[in-house]
Amino acid sequence: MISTQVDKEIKEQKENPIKMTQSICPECNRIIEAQIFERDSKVYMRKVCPVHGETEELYFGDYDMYRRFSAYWDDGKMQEAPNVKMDKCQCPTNCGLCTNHLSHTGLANIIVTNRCDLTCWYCFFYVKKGLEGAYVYEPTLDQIRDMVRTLRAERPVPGNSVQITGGEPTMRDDLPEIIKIIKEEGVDHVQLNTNGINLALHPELAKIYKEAGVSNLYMSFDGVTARTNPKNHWEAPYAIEACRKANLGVVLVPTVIKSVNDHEVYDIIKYAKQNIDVVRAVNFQPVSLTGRMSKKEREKYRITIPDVIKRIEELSGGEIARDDWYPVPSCSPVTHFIEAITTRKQYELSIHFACGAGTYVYLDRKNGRLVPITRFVDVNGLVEFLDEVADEINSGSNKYLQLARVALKIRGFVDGSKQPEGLDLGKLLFDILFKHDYSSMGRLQMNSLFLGMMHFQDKYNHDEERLQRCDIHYLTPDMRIIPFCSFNVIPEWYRDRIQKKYGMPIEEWERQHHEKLEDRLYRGQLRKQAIKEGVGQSCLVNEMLSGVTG
Amino acid sequence: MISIQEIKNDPVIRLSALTPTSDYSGTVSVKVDFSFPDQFLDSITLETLRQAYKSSDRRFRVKYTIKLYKLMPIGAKKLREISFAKKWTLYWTRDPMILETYKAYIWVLGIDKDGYAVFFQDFDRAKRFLFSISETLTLAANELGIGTSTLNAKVEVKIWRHTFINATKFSVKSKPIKLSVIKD
Repeated sequence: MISTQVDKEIKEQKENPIKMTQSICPECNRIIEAQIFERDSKVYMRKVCPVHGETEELYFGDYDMYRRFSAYWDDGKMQEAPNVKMDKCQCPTNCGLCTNHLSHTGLANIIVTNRCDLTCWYCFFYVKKGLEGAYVYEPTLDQIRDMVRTLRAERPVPGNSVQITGGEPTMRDDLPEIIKIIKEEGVDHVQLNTNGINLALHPELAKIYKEAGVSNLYMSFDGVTARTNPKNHWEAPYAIEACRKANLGVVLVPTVIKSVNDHEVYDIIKYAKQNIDVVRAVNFQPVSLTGRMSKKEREKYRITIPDVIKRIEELSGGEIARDDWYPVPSCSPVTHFIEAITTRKQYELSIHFACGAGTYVYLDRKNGRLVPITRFVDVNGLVEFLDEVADEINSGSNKYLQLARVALKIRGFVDGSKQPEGLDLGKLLFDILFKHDYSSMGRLQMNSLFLGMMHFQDKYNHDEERLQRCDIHYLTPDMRIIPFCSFNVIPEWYRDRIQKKYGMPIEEWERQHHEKLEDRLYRGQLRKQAIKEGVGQSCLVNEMLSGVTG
Repeated sequence: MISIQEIKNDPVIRLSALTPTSDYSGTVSVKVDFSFPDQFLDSITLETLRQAYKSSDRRFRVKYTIKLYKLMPIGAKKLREISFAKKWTLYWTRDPMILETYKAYIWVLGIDKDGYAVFFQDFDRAKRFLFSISETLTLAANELGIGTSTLNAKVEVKIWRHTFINATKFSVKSKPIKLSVIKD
């Protein structure tokens, strides 16, 4: 009945149906079917709950990009040892990971505390006093070790990348110990998700975290003005400076909201370029609309990956264009090639094409411009070639002959005349493909700025096909591994329930720790200091932002 | 395992002239149609795909090379050669229509030679997409010269090894056609 109704409406509005999927009702979480369709060159989702009616939502802001990106669809390796062993699991219930899940963990989040030194009105990740049922959640060191062991027990590919998150993780005094535990369990990449304020106030922390084993900071950075980035505009430059001195890489993470900060997306890239010696990447996150919102409000704020990409193209005057971007699963042919030559299952980024995108840009020091990798590498040709070589090896062709073929041809995909000075990408690609180790990938990133997009879902655009392929997960003390978009999109089933079960009431936490929750709130010291100095902005902020805005 | 012989039996190839007569300064267009035999298409079922998917065999590529020749009194002169691949990606669908209609949870996404995806709601259409081609080749009439020329086309097909099929490579030739080029 419902699908017939949806079909009829689509015909009437001259819409082009693309496919059907499953979603949830944003009101009651009921699992319902949803139509993905094209209208006016954009892709929408429409679904009808028999109780709460119809929801229509922008799903992907460009149909052409949707078709190009979806060509890289690549289901992952699935779980050989799922934690939730149910034959007929009905997603999104019972996440953990279950037998339906198609991607191994690409990045595992560990919430070490839900306390935060900020109280941003729009944030739902931190514990607030005065709310009924508010719990402080801080897993013990033993629990954290067990969670990491669960991650490392994933098969066929043990999880190898952890993000320590919160709340604000630097609120925990034993954070260096936590980092060491994660490293002891064999995790190569440890990322610290922070607002940077504690690092700005206590720069020595950068060195301490680095020595404990943190690979990079993942720092919130929503804009280059105090208006667009009220969270850490005054503090971020100091945090970056601390990381620079400690040789600790930084990823800037802007949450992009239409009509709020989308006009600054290129300024953020320029800011990263100015700090390219320490900033390794910018990872834009188009906003996930949580809580109840009217359609009008959603239309005001909703922005999707193609919209941000097009905004960057427009604001950069084509310096970084839409065709420079590739969906995350476009890395798969490289993985398949390495698997073919090693005959071992490899780490793979097999998320849904609509979840993430990226590109590498290189700084041409002669003219100060950023040069996307696509301007001097035939990415499509390279991907196609590697795919074919993997097919040849899997078809019984002599592996060493094929490797020799790759070695001979690989540099042919790089146009040396257009390559920024001092860069030998052909050699770097050779190292990645033939040494295929973590450090080779790292070197690729050390010489460039990675620009990424990661669009987390919400209840309005929730797509079960995306969820089933999610590779950003949460580790929980009940030894489950829960996809991000279940954990946060349906908090009443996952996040809130787990934090309540393993947390403690605020009053009890305060009694045990002999401090009040609000004692460690950040009171804007750096901002106040700057204003007191009468410069409007502190010297470091001024220096770091010069030439970025406008 | 699908029999290779089924592929080599009776593939359909046809070369047709879109412009049977052209001016010397104009262009000549021919169309090459090729498809695998129906018997072969019938042997690929959703169960075939399900088994392949379970074995992590999820990308299937067919590489086509089209060569257009002008037949000479002795031998032939190659006028054009184009090569491209069409692909399938197998994926776990949540599409309720496919689940209901086909009772299948493994489905196919097509990737056309331009690198763009093609979505299907019908399995026969998905098979026709991958296992048939229809290409128009255009060349300057002066490449043929004034008078009547005899052309034929050869299609080479390459498939790599998968759980349900062995690696294979074969080629088929079309029947010759005649085209005329006249003085301007």
